[in-house]
Amino acid sequence: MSQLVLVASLQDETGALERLLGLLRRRVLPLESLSLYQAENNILEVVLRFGDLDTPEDRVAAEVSSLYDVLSVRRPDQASCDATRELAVVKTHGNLEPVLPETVSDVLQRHSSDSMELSGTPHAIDRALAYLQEQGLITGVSRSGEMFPPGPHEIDT
Amino acid sequence: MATITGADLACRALSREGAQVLFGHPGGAILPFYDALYNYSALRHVLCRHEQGAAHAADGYARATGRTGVCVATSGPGATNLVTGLAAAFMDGVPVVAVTGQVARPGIGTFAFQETDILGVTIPVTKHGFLVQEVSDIPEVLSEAFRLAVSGRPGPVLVDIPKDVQAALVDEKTSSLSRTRRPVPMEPLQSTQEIEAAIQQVAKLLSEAERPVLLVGRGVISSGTAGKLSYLAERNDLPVITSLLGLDAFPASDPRALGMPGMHGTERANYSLQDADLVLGLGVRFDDRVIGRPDGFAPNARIVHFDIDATAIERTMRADIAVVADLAVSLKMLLPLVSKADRTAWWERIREWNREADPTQEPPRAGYRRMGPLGAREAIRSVARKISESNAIAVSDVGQHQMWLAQELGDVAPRSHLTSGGLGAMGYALPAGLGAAIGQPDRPVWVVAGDGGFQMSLQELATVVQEGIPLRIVVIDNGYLGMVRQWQERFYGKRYSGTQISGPDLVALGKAYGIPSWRIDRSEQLDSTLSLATIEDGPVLIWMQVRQEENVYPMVPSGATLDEMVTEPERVSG
Repeated sequence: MSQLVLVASLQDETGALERLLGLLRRRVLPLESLSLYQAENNILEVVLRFGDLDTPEDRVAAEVSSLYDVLSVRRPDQASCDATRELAVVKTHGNLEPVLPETVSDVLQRHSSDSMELSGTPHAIDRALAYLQEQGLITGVSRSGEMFPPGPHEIDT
Repeated sequence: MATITGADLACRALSREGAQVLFGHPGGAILPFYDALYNYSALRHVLCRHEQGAAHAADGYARATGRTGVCVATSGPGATNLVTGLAAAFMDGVPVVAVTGQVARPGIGTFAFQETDILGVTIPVTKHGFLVQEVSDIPEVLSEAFRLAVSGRPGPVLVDIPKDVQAALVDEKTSSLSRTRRPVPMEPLQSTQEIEAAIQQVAKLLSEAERPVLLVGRGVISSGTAGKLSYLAERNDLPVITSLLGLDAFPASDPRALGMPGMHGTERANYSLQDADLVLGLGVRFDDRVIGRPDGFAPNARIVHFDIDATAIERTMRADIAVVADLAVSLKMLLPLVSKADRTAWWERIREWNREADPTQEPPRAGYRRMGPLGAREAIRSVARKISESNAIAVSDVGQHQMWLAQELGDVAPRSHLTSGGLGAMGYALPAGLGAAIGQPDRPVWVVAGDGGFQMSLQELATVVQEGIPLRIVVIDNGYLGMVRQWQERFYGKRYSGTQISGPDLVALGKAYGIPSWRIDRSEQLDSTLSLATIEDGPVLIWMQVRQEENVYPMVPSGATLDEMVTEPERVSG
């Protein structure tokens, strides 16, 4: 399965995100997940992960690049992917730290009495959340979506 | 400190960007702009009777001149009425800047009177939209809008200015953009080295090809490369097929011209494409109406796609080689690599196929004239001859007459055939012709419309008269929405649902506007009426009542390949 991931630097202007999402919808591009975060003043980094693509990857990148608000598009390289991080804030039934196994504690960053922060690779977060879910320990989760370290990882279109 | 209003800043910026004509319609939220405009005599305002007309007029102006067209509207309905015109410009890659008034900033999002999120509404049909939030941003935003409209594949850009921003006072010298970084978007994604490498490959393919063809679109017009195209065709003895929007890129009478391809294309164009071993697409987007069924298009050919728009590559058609660059650059690189070629065998094959869309219709013998009920193609053939003879600009609407004119059009200069090709917007021709005539005041402009499309925008007759524009308007009236009726006839068992259309007495209508008008319905009236009409200095209207159920052929049925085209009505089936 194609797992195209593009990171677009987007100028945070009126309608910018709407234009980006509207374009993906109009081109019927299968967006599987999207996360965004502030990279610097007035610049958003938007991570676009696509599902099965009928459209050539270069053309997807060209479509995204064609938007005026998009300052650059990059396809993360392997080093970047390895350094991908995600944050999850988990609401739990009380303080569970003492009972958590390695699979969870390796991504545990901080906790209060009834919530904890997990950060790590998206895969590690998935794994930890799956465990907590199985144990019936979670009452709610907020995930940031994946974040890539800043470029340069210029796209090869 | 000298102060200036945002509206004044906008007028100054428009002047600085080279705007000379604004096609618009005022209203509440754009009042400060119109008040400022009162002092700018260099900005000619043309009051269109509907904002859609203003947008089409700006489009026609741009297509005919190569300059960016400008339209202006107020907020709410004024702005939404622009949408069809902007969409037509977007589909065909025409540079237009639309300036709209917006309700004052505190009113945005409150369902204020005449409030519409026009920025949101127009996202899919513009290259970009700006909502100006700070008065000092106006000059740079407008400058950026003009730059964007012509960069890469041209297109429309919307600038929405709230009323209080137009009215706000600012230091005359202040002009800063609050945005933190100016992007450099829409540049071709190939490097010079990549383009050069691709061009080398193209030259090699050309030298090896036995049955090459050039497929030419509006990109040749936009890039001003019609001369280079002619040189390339002559140098390498290449057949030239011109899309609907590329018809004026290459002379129809040139022996290498094969005519228009696609749904209503010529045998010679369609069969050549299907038989070719190399198709060089120049500034053409391989539209579905051109290629027919994609998997059956040019099955034996390598396909090379030259386009300034990287997103056009492989959108509808595979490309063995893509050259993403301005044609002015890529053709300049290609031409020195192209050698002379002998394509005698290929031309012998090509000449087996009909060049004329209607080869059965013989021209009348000298000294004779046709008699009897007027035929639509026959009428349009005569109009097309007048257009070519007088170096005129032809503006067609959408439907059967559009296809007949495309098939019958003779030699015309670049930027002389205007039509809404991609969107297919009925009502386009009259306002676009108005814009073209204002942009090219020294050239005759013929508007050819059907009775359906004409009734969608005939309010612009008043604009034509008020501005004293000598448009030659031909209405082909068959009492039907003809192209839809043709499809109903062929594919829906002649169930003419919703396609019979009546209309006013167009001679009386023309006279009501003070326009000399004629009605003809017989062949023998055709030439004399056209001659009479061309003598007039001002606008004229010729109402041609034609036989009702004439169809456009050849035709490639929907979903068929180009070589499944039919020229005989009996052979068409669902």
